Amino acid sequence: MDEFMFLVRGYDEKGVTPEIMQKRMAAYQPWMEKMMTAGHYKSGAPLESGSGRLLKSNRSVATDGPFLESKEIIGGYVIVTAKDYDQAVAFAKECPLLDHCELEVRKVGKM
Amino acid sequence: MLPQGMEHFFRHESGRIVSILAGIFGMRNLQLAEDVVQEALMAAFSQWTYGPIPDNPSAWVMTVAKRKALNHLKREKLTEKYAWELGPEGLAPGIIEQSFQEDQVEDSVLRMMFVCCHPDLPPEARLVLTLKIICGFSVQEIASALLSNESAIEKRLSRSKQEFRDRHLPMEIPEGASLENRLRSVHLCIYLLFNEGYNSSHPDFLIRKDLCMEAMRLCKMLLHRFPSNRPGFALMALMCFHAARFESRIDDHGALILFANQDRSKWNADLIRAGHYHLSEAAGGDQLTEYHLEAAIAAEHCTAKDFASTRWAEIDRYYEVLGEMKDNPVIELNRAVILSQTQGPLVAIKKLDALKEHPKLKGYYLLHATLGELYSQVGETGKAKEHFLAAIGMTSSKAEVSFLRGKLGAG
Repeated sequence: MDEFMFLVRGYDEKGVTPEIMQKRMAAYQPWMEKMMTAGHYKSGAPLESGSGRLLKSNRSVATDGPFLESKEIIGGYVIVTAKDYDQAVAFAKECPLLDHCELEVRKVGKM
Repeated sequence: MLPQGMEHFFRHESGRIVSILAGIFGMRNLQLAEDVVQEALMAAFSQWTYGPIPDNPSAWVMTVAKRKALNHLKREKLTEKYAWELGPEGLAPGIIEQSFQEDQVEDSVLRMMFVCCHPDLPPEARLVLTLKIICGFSVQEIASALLSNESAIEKRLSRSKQEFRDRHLPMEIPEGASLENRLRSVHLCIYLLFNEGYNSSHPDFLIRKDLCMEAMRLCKMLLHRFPSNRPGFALMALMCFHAARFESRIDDHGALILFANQDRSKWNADLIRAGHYHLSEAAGGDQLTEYHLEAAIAAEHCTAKDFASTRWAEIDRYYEVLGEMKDNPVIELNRAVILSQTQGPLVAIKKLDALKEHPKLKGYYLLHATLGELYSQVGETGKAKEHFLAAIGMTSSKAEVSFLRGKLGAG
């Protein structure tokens, strides 16, 4: 089994009302539960929006993002285990987050 | 599926936390309270987007909200700015901790309900405030539920918030005679909320059901705190009886089912039992309110074994008293329907013809739908058609239109 990271891009939080949160959560959680029960979910977290530091060298630190177009901003990540890319992509395809954002699937390098 | 008890988690937590925070910041800072709540809910939502929901999600959100509230107080120096509002001691260090205690939460929500239903605010504003602040609906969702538009709702809300700032309406539960007065206002708001869901022509069944459930939830909370509030029990009874028939009002295609044809086995027996319980709790006082009468009427319908054994004479007597209490021509329309059952369609048509010109009933689709039904019963298909067509032109509800079209086809 290898680890794969799903980078979640372009999650637009604007206009997300409690009712919308409710509906989306009801869609996400079954996927999450399924992944957990099958032992494929490792970890995951959101990246705080509206903050960040961008260093292109050791001389300048940009703090007043956004550094990227909003659809390119990474909103969070999920790490799953899968036997290969095919399986990881199959998991990602079932993920309801795809209704609102893009997922980039990357294999985590091994030592 | 979300964990049990999380059916309306985000909306309900929104109402709870905004009430707590407004209690700390003061009603004049309602907007700030709402902003902090949105931040806290968003934090929970994004956390749970990437991982599991914790065992006690409510406590999780409360903790985040509390931390954010403290940060805001520090950052914005609210303590100094609004010290006068926070009492002579200012914001005592323990007050935030205390306000977030579980046993204080319901009280905060109730106090919020009472200030949102302040008699100085116009009744429409009270309904909108309740939907926004306590039920946690967004402006767009409220506009859709009330078949209004966003800018109108937005305007109402900002005007109300201005009132809260200018007039220092307190977030408290009044005492004595003014408590009774305020309870009346809260009851009316709950009643309107329920009616929006039950009688509105909103095309979305789920939205309407949500509104009814919210009204019942608020009423339950109210009765928990005021167990000797008999009109409140009558109101709850009335809502239970109506809600019991909610599912049977639409058939598989969403068309309204004529009361006589409703499948009574689909009526919710638990809700009918709850209705009877609340109605018996409502009795015995010296107050006979319109809620008592409307609940009694609904109880008669729910108790009748079938349509034919409905006790029309009893129901008509309740309507008669109700008519003396509130000036509403729809009551007379209902009595005409009873007449058609007890004395035949012709007598009823005569009564309805007299009502047709009533300014409040002009353009009321049910009057014409009823006339259409009665005319088709006596075989006057031409007149029946005329009235069904008029009714179709007066309603925006798809279910009602398709029901009326069915009638046209049959006639």
